[in-house]
Amino acid sequence: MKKILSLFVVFMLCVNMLSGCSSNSSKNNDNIRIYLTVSQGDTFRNSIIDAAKAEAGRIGAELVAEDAQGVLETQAAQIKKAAEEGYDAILCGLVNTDTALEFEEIAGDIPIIFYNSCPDDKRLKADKYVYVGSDETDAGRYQAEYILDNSQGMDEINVVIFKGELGHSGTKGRTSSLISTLKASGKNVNFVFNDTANWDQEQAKELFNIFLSTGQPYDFVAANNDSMALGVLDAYAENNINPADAPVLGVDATADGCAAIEDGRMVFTVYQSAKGQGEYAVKVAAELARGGSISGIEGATKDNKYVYVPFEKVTAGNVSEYK
Amino acid sequence: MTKPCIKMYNRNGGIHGDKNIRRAVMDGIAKKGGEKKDKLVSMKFKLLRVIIPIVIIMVGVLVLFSYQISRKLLEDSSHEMLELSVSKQATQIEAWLDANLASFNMAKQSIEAAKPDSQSLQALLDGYYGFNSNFANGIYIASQDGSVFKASQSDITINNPAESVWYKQGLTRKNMAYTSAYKNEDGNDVVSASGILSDGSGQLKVIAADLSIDKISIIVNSFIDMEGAHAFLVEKDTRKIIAHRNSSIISTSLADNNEDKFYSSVNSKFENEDFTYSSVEDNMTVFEEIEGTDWILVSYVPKSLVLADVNALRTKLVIIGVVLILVLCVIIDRTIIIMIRPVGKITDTITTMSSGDFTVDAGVKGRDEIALMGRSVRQFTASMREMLKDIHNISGQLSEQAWNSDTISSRLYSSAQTQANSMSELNTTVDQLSISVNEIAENATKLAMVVTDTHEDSSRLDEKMKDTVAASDKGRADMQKIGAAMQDISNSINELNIAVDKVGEASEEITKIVAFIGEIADETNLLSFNASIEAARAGEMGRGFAVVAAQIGQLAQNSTDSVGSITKLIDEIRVLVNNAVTQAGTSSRNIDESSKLIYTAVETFDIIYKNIEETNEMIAHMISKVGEVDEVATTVAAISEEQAASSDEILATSENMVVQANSISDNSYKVAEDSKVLAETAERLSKQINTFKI
Repeated sequence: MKKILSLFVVFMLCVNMLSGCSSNSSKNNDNIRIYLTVSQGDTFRNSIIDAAKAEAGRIGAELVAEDAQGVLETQAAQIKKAAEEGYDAILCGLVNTDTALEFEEIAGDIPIIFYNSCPDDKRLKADKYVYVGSDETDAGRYQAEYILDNSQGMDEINVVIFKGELGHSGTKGRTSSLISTLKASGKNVNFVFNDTANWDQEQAKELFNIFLSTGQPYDFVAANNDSMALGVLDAYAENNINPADAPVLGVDATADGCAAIEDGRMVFTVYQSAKGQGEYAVKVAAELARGGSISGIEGATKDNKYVYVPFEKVTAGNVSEYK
Repeated sequence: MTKPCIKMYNRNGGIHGDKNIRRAVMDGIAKKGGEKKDKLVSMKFKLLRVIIPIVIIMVGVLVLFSYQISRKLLEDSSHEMLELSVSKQATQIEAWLDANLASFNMAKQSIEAAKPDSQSLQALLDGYYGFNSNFANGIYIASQDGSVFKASQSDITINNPAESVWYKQGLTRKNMAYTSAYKNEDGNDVVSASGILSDGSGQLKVIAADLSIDKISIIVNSFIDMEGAHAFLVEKDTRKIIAHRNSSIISTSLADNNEDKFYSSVNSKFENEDFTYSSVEDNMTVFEEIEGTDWILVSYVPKSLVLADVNALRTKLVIIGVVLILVLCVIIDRTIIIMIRPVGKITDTITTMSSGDFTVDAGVKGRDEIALMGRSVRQFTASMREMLKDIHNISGQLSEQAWNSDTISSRLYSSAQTQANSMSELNTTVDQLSISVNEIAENATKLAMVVTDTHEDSSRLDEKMKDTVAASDKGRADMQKIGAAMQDISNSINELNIAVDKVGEASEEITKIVAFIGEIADETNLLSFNASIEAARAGEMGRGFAVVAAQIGQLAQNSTDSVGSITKLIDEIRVLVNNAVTQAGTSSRNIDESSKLIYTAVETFDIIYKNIEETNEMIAHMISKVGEVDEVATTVAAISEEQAASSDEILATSENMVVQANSISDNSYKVAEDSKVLAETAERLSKQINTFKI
C-alpha cells in the first residue's frame, strides 16, 4: 500500500514538473511580444518608451508602441487590437485611470503593466495587473523637505502649488504628500495658490500671471513637474522676478529642468527615471509573459502589485549627474 | 482473564487457587436474582452516557463550525457590499459634485468669454439664477475693490467678501474647485465652488456659488444601497462632519462628539490617516475619499445587524440540535430495552447457574448476537454439568491421594531428619579426623625439618672428621719424621763430640806449638838483644844491624804478643769448646729424653689416629642412617600433608552433605506441610463441588 502511494506521489510530481517545464519552455525571451500604448507622448513619456524599446531589444523581445493621443476610445481600440493579435503582455499608460477595469476585461488573460499613471489599487492584481512607476508620494515629500530645510528662520511659509492633470495618480500623490508633509511639520504654511496647469509649460505661465494679479505673497513655488516649473520661470522672466527670492521646485529632472537648475533659476527637482521605468516595465512584462512572478524583481512590493523605481533628489549640487 | 489475578502460592510453589474464580462462584452462590433490573439500567445508562456526550459534541462542533463559516462568509460579503456601497455612493457624490462643478464652469467660461461690463454682468447673473437648482443662491462675484455682484433674485448676504472663505480660497485657483465647509454670512452651512474669474476687466475677481450642505447630506443619506448601513461625510483637514443624517451633528467636528465611542474611534483613525477597513465599536466601517475634494465618506453598518441572520440561524440550529439529542435519547432507550429483553432471560439462567443449579435450561430464539449468546450459554450449561461431574469424581480421588501424599511426606520428613543428624555426626568426626591428621602433618613436617638439619650437620661432621683423620695422620707422619730427626740430631751430636774431642786435641797441639813459638820468640828476643849489643858494639857499622836487630826484637815482641794472644784465644777456645762439649752432652741427654718422649708421642698419635679412624667410620655410618631417616621423614611429611588435604576435602564434603541433608529435611517438612494443606484443599473442593446441583 505504501509503495503504491509513494509511486503515485512520484508520478504526480513528475507530471507537475513536466507541465511546469512545458509551460516555461513555451515562453523564452525570443518569443515575447509586447504591446505598448501611451496616453499622449511628451518628453518624459517618450523617454520611458525609448528605454522600454532598448530593454526589449536587449532581452530579445518584440515591442510595438502606439500613441492614443489622449483619446480614451483610441486607447480602448488599441488594447482590443493587442488582445486579438495575441500579444504576450501589454504596457499601458492610461489616458484615464478609471478605464483600467475595462482594459483588463478586454485584455482577458494577457497581463497588463500600467506605467506612468497608476490606476486604483483595487484594479491591480498580484502578478497579473501590475503598476511600474515611482512612488509619487516620495516626490511630493522630497519637495516639502526641501522647502522646510530652506525655510528655517521663517515663521510663515507661503507656498504656491501647480498641479498636473487632475485625476492623474502623479498629481494626486505628489500634491497630497507635499501638502501633508508641510502641514505635519508644525510650521505655519499657507497654500496661497493651488491649481492645475495640466503638466503644461504655457498653461503654467499663464496661470502664474493670474496668480500674480491676486497680489498674494509667496515664498516657494512647487510644481508637479518640470515643464510647469519652467512655465513659472518664464513668468518670472516676464515679470522680472528673481528666482532666488521665491525658489521654484519641479519634478522629473528633464533635460530642460536640469538646465534650469544649472542656471540657478530652479533650485530643486526630483529625478524620475523614465529610463528606469521603461526598463523595468519591460522586465516585468517579460516575467509575467513567462507566467512568473515579479517578487524577484528589484523594487517590487510585497503584494506583488507594484514595482517602484525610486525617485532621486536633484539640486545644483548633483545636477551634473542627471543631465 | 483480563483482570490481573492475585495468585497465592504455598510453600512448595503450587497455586493455591484462582481467587477471582472462587469469589465469582461464591458471589453467585450468595446472591440470588434481583440484580437483573440493576444490570439492565446500568447498561442502558452506560450506552447513553457514552453516546449522548459524543453526539452533543458532534452536533455542537457542527453547529459551531457552520455558524463560524457562515458568519465569516456573511461578514466578508457584507464587507464587500459595504465597500461597494460606499464606493458607489462616493462615485455618485463625485459625479454629482463634478456635474455641478461642470455646470458652474460652463457658466464661468461663458462669463469670461462675454467679458461683460458691470451691467451685462448683473444681467448674466440674473439669468443664471436658478440654472442649477443645487446652486440655490445662484452665482455671485466679488471684486478686489470690494464690489459684489449677485443675482437680484438671490437673497444671499455678502458684506465682507474679502474675509469670506469662498473668496480667500477662490483666490488660490483659476479652475473652479470646492471650498471647505463653512457657515456663510447668513448662518447656513454651505460649501462653495469658487475660483478666480478672468473676465478681462483687469480687476481681480472671484466667482463663487454655494451648495447647501443639507443637499449634500440628503445625497449622502439617500444613496446608501446597503440595508442597515449609514454614511456621513467628514472633512479631512478640520475633521468636521459635513453631512450626516442627524442634522445636529453637522458642522461639528469628530472630536466634539467624543462621548460617543464610535466617533472618538473614527477620530483616531483620521488622526492616524488610517482609512482602511476596520471594525469600529462593532461597526463594520469603510472609508472612501471623494475625489476632487478634501472629504472622506465614512460608511458603517452595525455588525449585529449583519450577523443577525446568522445568529438567528445559530439559535435555530442549537434548538434543533437539542431536540434531536433528546429524540436520540428516547430512541436509544426504547431500542435498548427491546434488544435487552432476551438478555434478561439469559441473565436469569446465568443467575440460577451462579447459585449452583446447573439443571436449568435457557430457551433461545432468534439469530442475532444475543441469541447466539443464549445458545452459547446453553451449551455452556451442558458442558459445565459434565465437567462438574468429572470434577466431582476427580476431587474425590484427589482427596484420597492427597491424604496418602500427606502420610508419605511425613515419613519422608522423619527419614530426612535422621539422615540429617547422621550427617552432622559424621561431619563432626571427620572434622576431628581432619584436625588430627593436620597435627600429624605438622609434626611430620617438623621432624622432616629437624632431620634435614641433622643431616646437614652430620655431613659437616663427616667433613670435619675426615680433616681430623687427615691431620692426625699427618701428625703421626710428622711424629715419625721427628723421631727420625731426633735420631739424626743424636747422631750429629755424637759426631760433634767426636769433633770437639778432635778440637781439644788440636788445641793441645796448638798449645804445644805456641809454647814452642814462645820459646822461639824468647830466644829471638835474646838474640835481638845480643844483636843489639853487638850492634852497639859494632857502632856505626853496626847501626844497620842494630836496626835489624831492633826489628827482630820487635818481631820477637810481636811474636810473643801474638803468642800471648793466641794462647788467650786458645784458652778461650778451649773454654768455649768445653762449654760446647758440656752443651752437647746436655743436648744429647735432652735429645735422648726427647726421643723417648717422641716415641711415646708417636705411639699416642698412632692410637689417636686409629681412634679417629674408627670414629670417622662410625660417623659415616651414622650419616648414611640419618640420610635414610631424612628421606623417610620427608616422605612421611608429604604423605601427612596429602592426608591433611584429603581430610579437609572430606570435611568440606561432609559439611556440604550436612547442608544438603538439612535442606532435604526442610524441604520434606515443606512437602509434608503442603500435602497436608493440599489434602485440606481437596476436601474443601469436594465440599464446594457438592454444592452444585448436577
